[in-house]
Amino acid sequence: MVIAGCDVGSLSAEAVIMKDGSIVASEIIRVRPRPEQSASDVMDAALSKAGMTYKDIEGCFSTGYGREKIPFASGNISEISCHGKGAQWLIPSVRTVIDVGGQDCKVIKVDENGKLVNFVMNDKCAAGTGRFLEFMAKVLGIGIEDLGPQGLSSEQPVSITSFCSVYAETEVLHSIYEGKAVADIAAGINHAMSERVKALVKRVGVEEDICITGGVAKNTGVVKNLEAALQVSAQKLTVDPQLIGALGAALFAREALANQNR
Amino acid sequence: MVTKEAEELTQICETLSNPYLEDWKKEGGKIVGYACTYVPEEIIHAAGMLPYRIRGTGCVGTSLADTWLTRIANCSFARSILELALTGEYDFLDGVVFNNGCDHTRRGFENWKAQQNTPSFMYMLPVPHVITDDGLQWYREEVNSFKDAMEQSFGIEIKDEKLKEAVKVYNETRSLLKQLYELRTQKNPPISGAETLKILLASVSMPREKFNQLLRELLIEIRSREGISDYRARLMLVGSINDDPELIELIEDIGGLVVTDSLCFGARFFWDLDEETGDPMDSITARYYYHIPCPRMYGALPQRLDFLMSAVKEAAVDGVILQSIKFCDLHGVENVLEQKALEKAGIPTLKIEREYGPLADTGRFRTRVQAFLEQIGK
Amino acid sequence: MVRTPTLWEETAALMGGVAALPEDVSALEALAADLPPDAASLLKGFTNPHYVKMSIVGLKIFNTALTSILERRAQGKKVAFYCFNFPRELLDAMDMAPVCTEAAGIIPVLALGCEQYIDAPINAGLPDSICGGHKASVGMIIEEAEMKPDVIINAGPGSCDPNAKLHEWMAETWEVPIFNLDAPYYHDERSFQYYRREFRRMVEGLEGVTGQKVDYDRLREILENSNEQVELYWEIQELKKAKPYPLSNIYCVLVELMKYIWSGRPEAVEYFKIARDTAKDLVAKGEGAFPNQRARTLWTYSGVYFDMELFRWLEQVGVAFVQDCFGWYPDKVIDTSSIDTMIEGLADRTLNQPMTRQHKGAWDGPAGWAEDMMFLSKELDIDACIYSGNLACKQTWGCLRLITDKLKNELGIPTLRLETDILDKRITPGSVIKEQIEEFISTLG
Repeated sequence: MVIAGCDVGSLSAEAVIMKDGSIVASEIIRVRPRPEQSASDVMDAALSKAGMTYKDIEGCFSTGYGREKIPFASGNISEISCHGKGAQWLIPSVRTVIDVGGQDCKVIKVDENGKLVNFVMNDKCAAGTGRFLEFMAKVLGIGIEDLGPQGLSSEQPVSITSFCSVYAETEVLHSIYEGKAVADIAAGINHAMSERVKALVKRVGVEEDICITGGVAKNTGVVKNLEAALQVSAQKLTVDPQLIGALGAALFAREALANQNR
Repeated sequence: MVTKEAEELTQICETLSNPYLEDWKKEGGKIVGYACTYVPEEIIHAAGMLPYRIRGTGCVGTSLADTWLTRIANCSFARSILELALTGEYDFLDGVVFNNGCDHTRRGFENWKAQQNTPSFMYMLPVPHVITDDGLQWYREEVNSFKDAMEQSFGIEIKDEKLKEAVKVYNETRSLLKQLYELRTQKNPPISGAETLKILLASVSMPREKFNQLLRELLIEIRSREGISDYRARLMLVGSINDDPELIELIEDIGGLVVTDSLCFGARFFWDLDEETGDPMDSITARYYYHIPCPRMYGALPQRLDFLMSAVKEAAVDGVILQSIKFCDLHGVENVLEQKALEKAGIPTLKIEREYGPLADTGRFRTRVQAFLEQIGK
Repeated sequence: MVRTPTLWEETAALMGGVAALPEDVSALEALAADLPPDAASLLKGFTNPHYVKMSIVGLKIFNTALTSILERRAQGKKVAFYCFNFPRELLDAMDMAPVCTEAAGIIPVLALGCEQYIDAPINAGLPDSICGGHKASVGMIIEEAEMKPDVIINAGPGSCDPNAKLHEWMAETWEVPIFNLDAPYYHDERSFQYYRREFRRMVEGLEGVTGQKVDYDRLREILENSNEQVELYWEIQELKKAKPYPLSNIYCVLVELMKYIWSGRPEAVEYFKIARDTAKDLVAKGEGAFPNQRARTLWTYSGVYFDMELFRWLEQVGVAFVQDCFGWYPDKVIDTSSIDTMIEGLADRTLNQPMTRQHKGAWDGPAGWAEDMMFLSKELDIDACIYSGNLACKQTWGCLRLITDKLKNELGIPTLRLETDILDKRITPGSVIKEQIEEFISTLG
């Protein structure tokens, strides 16, 4: 059985193709101006990797902000359910999924079947999202992918207290003028970011095991800080954390197919 | 066979003004705007004027209002109303009455009143924040002062018999709307939540006698409908003010049929009746003072919870959406208390903070509602 | 296993150490250098050399008040939470352990920062936009259940939505009785009569629920102290008019805390006496409390408290914190000749508390915010206003432009608009606030 999931978000789009219960191909692209375009581009690429065509796909669900506009999807599911589903399928012991994406942050609780039990989504502007990191990395003049590794080497992280990106920028600038090392500032940024995510996690509470999905999960500095702040260690994903939404969508497509065939 | 007029009742709300209002004005009628469920409409009606509930319809941005009520601390509904006032959209009003309903609206009123070109009658009708005998007496005096002020400002007299007539007219509306709400409790409700809100909005935007007539007709048609059966879940909407049918359409589009509410553009606005015997000023005062209380009334949580729970039961609700407009502490805090009570009773809830109207982030709202439907397994 | 000290115990321990210090600036500064940043900042706020005696008395009162509550609670006395706009004197005369909701959080925040407590109510589902003045105290009870109230007095209805609603939430959540005092919209005789009835109802209810009666002899004693306080307050208001400004900026901050936590006690009277004497001395000598004074400021809301050093820093850059709205107590002396006069006097005083008084009809109401700010600006010869911009305060934000325009157009006084949480440094950090104030003051010429 070949199934697929397609996740069209605000910054990136992902596709996952599964065959007989395992992932055979996946793809991540920057979003195009229109979600339909993003969806077909990313799916085309994944299909070509798998050496398949649309005809091979028996079921495909979509998720993400563009989920309702995907022509080849037979159903759509919220990204909240999908992240929960995908992560719990990969690591069956997972009960709490922290998804930190480009524009929002969600904390998702699931049961032993990967079914959504409870969730919370950030209300505040950029605080606690990938956008905050992007903004801060820019102020610091380094790439967003360097924030994590840079920060890890710091022994004296600077303190960035403000929740507001604008004031946080002022604080970062102050540190730069004061001649603080880039590593220390990067560490401060990662710490600030994890504090914001922690605040959200506390609203639904932590139930172990936990795992972190979404683009920000790739920032080792934030992950380490978050683990410390929550006093837990996050389960390591064996696939790219950005793919979890699309994976969840594929799994929902499989369930739908199974129900249909029953 | 339903008349075209009745059929079009749900379109009245799409704009601030409408042909009925225009005719009313043309015939020399006066219109008095009011902003809260604690302003007795009957008094305005008995004065021979048209009570019009102030709303944010058609506001596309709040750049002017934001220089008075701020974006960083004030509610987007209050800002939208002020924007419409500042841009002249409410110039058709001959008078405006506000309550000290909440911090945002009472400041919104002050900002409006401080402008150069306002309607000549700008009135604040303060309401106590507790429900006591003393409070009733205070409110009674305020309602009296309001009546006096109307008489003086417009050079008219509001007679008892007119008040009694108004009581009858308004009670009829309430009974008709209640019938509408009863239909929504059916297994296959013949009317959606969005359409219900549109009817409610029409009731406060046109001559009331005409509205009653049209709703009577429309009810016959609604009763004959087959009913909606393709929904995923029956939902109740509670929390901050909502005069925007699109918010409900967002929920209903993804299968969450809104079957009841405890909103102030909803059940809270019409549920209770005036006594039709005795002194009409007394009965009007008592009805407005004791109606299903807004979270601004302290010590009245039990009454609010009673209503919430009975509505959940009557409409066989699968889940409750507790929404509040950003910076609305009255509902923001109330929602926590109501959520606790609902969860205790085993009713699934979704608590959402949102922006109003043109400032709304519909994508995020929709995602959460969809996830909620998935969560409750619908 | 050793029990972790509660937030209050921790704070009391810290303040206890401070209170034992000699009346000497260098000792305060030396101690500050050894403390964590928040506590250090708190102490630095108190280092005006002329006012060390007053500062130490003030700091001691923090400690006395905290320990007194802890002791009374340990003795099984009822813990009564009240909103800052309520006179604690009544509860003191009922032999309760009176806790001002706002101060319960403010004092630990000043000393310890305590972000985890500030976040706790939000984690419990409350909206972010509730007042910073409540977050820490509610958080403290969430995290340390033992500090729960036995009864709550809610003087918020009619004056502030988030305040009143938060007290309702507390009562519901911890299942304790609450008494609501409804502030009517006006400020006339009818309103005072209504409020007196409200107040009497509250007293009766409180006595009924707690089984603790008002000891009217004790109340008379307490009110005589607070009357003396009131007289000293007015005397100091007169002294404030002197130029250069003769009081330390920390005086205003402490006036509020004295009112919230220790009003009617001899130590509070002592505080005002020292302040009066010191200011009088300086005025006689023609000196100011600090040199190079550049501006007399009216803070049209409150100060910013998460970084107390700010008050000393203002002195160092020549800015006098002459008055703030929350420190404006147009109190009258209460006639203590009978039970009725005392209760009515207290009721009238409550309706005249800051916030309750100004925020019914803030713009055009009598004793409204605009009227009071205009009056104070003229009375105290103010050069510039600073609005501390507590983001939770929807109602001042909601008519800020009306008030600032009026101050500017009618008196030529500019206003600096800050955006803060007055108790949470994570909203606008102290460094940013200082920068904004410096820039503003430099434009005054």
